[in-house]
Amino acid sequence: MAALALASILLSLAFGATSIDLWGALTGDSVMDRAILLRERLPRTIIGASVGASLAVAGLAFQAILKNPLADPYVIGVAGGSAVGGTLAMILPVAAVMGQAGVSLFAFVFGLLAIGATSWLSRDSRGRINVWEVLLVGVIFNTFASAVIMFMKSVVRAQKAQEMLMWLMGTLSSDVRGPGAILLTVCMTVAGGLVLFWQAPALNALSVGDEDAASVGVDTERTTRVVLIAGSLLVASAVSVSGMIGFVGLIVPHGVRVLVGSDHRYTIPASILTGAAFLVLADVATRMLFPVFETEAPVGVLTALVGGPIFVWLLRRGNR
Amino acid sequence: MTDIPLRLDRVSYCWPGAEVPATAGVSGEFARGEFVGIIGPNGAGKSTILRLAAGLIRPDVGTVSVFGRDPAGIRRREAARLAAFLPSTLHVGFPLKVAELVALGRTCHLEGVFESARDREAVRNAMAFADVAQFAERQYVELSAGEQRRVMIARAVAQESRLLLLDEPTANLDASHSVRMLGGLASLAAADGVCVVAAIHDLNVALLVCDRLMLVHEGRVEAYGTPEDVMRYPVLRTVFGCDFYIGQNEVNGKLFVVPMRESDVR
Repeated sequence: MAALALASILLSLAFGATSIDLWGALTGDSVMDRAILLRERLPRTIIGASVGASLAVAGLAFQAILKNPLADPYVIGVAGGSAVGGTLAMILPVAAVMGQAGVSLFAFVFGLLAIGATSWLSRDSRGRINVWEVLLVGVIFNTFASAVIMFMKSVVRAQKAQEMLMWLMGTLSSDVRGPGAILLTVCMTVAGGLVLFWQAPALNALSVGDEDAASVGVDTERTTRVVLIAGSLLVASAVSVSGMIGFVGLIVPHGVRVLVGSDHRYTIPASILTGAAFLVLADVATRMLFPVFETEAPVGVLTALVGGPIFVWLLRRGNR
Repeated sequence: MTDIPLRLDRVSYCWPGAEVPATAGVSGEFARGEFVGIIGPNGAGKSTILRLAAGLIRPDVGTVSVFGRDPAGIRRREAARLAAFLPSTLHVGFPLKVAELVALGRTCHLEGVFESARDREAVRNAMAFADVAQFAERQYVELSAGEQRRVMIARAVAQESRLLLLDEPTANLDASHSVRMLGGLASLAAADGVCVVAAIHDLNVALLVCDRLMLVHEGRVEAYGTPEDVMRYPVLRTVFGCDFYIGQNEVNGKLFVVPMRESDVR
């Protein structure tokens, strides 16, 4: 899997809308190619790998605490909040002043506000977070958020609405390319991934049931909270740099489970690697298709187009 | 830390939303090396007593003490090391292998993320104890109900706690596994000084291995003592609402009971 991730990254650096001489770029013989490689492809590949890894591992962890293999990273309301934040930033003067960074910032902050609100609304009478209600409130919140977004889209100019649509569908072609943004995204992925890996034994127990996990020594409330926070940070940072890229967080954990089983001590690292590889490869494909359509399709569309059938196939295979 | 595995002192608990308490003023002491059966009709509060002892719920009134500690007040990790709890049913949503499920019992002993050699040894011993080693690589959900039960007992044993709280350990077990499993648990008690507290609805199964019986009815303790003390016509009739024939098995000397229909009594 590490090899797969590495290969996909090399592939992503080598291929794109413009063909470059990779060797020439690396050795510095071709200045133009070197610029494309370092300014465009490298940042894009790093962000793609980071977003893919974040979404996959967050999806895996949410599936465990919600005891539902069909949960995805967007199910608990973070995504709805981030989407509202991002689109709001586009129609407010924020984007004009701060550029894409403003959209990212708004998406991130709104995502965290959303998970805060979801958790607050999902407490039981004793102040504990009830995961079933997190799921329910999250789904309702997402529906509400999409209504808000529809409304915003309907009141802005067509060109703006198109811009929003592209962002919402998920894309790695936005111009968030600063070293700061890249560093932040990567740090978030690494930190979130480590926190979740540390919780792996607790996640194993929790995926069976809350009371059952408690009886073998897991502080279920604390673990649920840690996982919700770490997962939400991962999702919010992913959405804020790339919009809503679908299916990675659902299909990668499933594929990984088919291959390596249900033990989170193995599925967490495997999801991180596979998620990174999947999204980077999908992004390579969108770039390769660029010359065909004369425009770049959002990578989120591609992951869903490819991911949907694969997912059905995995489900069918599992049923046999 | 006292040496008394479990002490309940006038414990009452009402489940959220319920109108009548599941346990009301339950008291009792459970000693080292003792196998105690909690018996009583459905809904009498057997499982609630076990959950209180495991610290999974906190009593509304009264105190629970496990080796001198309050199981609901200390860290879960510590509570699970003191007392292992076997739930009466377990629905596993994710495809877990038997060995993985048994290894979950070691969660409270893990130092870091992976099991130590000591942890793996405990898992192997527990699987041998419950006769499930041959299923180690099979999926839990593929097993029969009785086999799943044995896997869950293995997990509780792998926890290596000095207090075992078992909710219907022999449900769905065939006669042979039932007798062997209870015999194994009884020897854990007798030889290793483990205190075993099991909710058992089958009176004859309970009479086979239990040193003492706690008869509960509508959340209260009706009788607590040796089988001879507890198995008496009036109290059984009050609690279960039917008559029993109480006899003594002349081969092993144990009491046995047979429920009777009123119309059949001559």
